[in-house]
Amino acid sequence: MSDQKLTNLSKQSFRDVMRQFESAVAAFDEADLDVEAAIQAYERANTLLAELEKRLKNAQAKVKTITAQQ
Amino acid sequence: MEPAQLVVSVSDCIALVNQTLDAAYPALYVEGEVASFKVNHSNYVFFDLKDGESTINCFMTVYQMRMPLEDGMRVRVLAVPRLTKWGKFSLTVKHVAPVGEGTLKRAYELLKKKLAAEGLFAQERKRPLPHWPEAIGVISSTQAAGYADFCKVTATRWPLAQLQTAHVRVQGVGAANDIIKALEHFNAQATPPEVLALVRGGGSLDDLAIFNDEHVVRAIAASRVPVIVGVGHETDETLATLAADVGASTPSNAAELVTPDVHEVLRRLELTHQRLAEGLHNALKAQLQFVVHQRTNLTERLQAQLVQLASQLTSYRQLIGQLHPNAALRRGYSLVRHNGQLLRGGQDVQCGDELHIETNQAIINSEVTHVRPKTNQLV
Repeated sequence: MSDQKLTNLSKQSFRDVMRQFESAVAAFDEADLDVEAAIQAYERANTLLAELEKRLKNAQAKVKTITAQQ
Repeated sequence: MEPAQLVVSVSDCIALVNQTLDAAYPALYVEGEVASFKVNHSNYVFFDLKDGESTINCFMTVYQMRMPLEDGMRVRVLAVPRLTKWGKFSLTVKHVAPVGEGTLKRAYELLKKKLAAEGLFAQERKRPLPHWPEAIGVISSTQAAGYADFCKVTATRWPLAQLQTAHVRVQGVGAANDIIKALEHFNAQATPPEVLALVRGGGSLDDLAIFNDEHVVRAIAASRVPVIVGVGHETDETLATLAADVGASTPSNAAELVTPDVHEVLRRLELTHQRLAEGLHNALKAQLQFVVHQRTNLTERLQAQLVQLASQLTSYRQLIGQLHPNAALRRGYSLVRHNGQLLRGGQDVQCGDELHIETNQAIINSEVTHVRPKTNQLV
C-alpha cells in the first residue's frame, strides 16, 4: 500500500479504509517484524485509525442530534 | 326493426353478447370454491368455481397463477366474463387470491413445499450481508410504520449509510408487481446498493399474502444484491423471508441486522488501538532486553578471553624463563667462551688457548692443556 493511498483517505469509502486498517493490524501481528518495520506498521495503522475514528465520531454526533430531536 | 326480428349469425350472436358483457362487466370479482382443477400443456389452467348452487368454468395461464391451487380451496378471482366460440360461458381470470385462513395456509404450505424442492430456501444460497454498508436500498411503503421503524433504527445505529427508497404498495392487488419492479430497478443499477431491505409491519395472513406470492419470492431469490426481509411480527414467517439471504423478525430487527452499532465499532477500534500500542511497547522492550543481554554476554566472553590470554602469557613467560641461559647456569651448567664466542664443538680449540668459563656464581679464566674428541656426541 503506498503512502499516496494514505493521503487520499478522506476520499475513500469507510469500508476501504477499514480494510486497510485490518491489513495493517495483521501485518503488525505477524512474527519476525524488525523494530523499524513494527514502527512503520504502527504508524500506518495509527493514521488509518485516526480517519476511522473521525468518521465514526461524526456519526455519533449525528446520532446524538437525531435522538435529541425525537 | 324490432330486436326479436334481428337475425344474426352464431358468431355474431356470440360477439354481440361478449360486447354487452364487456360494456356491463369489464371485470368482476367472483368468489367460490375451486373444483376440477387441471393444467394443460404446462401453460393453461382450467378449473371450476362453484358455490352451493352454481358452477362457472374458469381459464387462466400458468403465469397468472400466483399461488398454488387445488380443489377445495376458496378463492376470489378478478375475471372477465365471456362466451367462448363454442357458446360456453366462462371467466377469463386475471388474478386469483386465496380467501380465508384455511386456504391461505394451504396455499402457503403447497408453495413452500414446491419452492423448497427447487432449492430456493437452501442455506448454501444465502449470502452474508456487508459489514459496514454505505448504501441500503429500502423497498417498503413510505407511509407504513414498518418503514419508519427501519429508518429510525438505521439512522441511530449507522448514520454513515445512505438509504435509497423504492416506495411500493405492501398489500392488495398490484403490490406484488410493485415489489418485483422495485427489486428489478435496484438490480439493474450500474452501482446498486450493497443490500436491499424489504420491510413492512405486521398484519393478517391476508395482509401479508403478497410475501407468499410465488413471483415475489422468485424475484427475491434471483436478486444479485443480497436481500434482507423483515415483515410482520415475530411469529410471521413468510416465503419471502425464507428466500431472502437474511430473514428478520420485524423491520426494526432487519435494521439491526443490516447495520453495525457505531458506538460498538468505535469501542472495538479503541481496543485495537490499545492492543497495537501495547504490542509495540512489548516489541521494543523485548528488543532492548535482547540488546542488553547481548552486551552482557559479549562482556563476559571478552573477560573470559582476557583471562585465557593472561594465563597463556604466564605460561609463555615461564617457558621463556626456563629457556633463558641463566636457568641452565642455575642448574649447574657452565657457559664456555673461546675468543669471546660461546664454545659449542671444541674442534677449533688448541692447547694453550685461553677459555672463559661462566658458572652461576663466577667467571673462571683457564688455559687448554689437552683436547680429545668425545665418543658419544649429542646431535
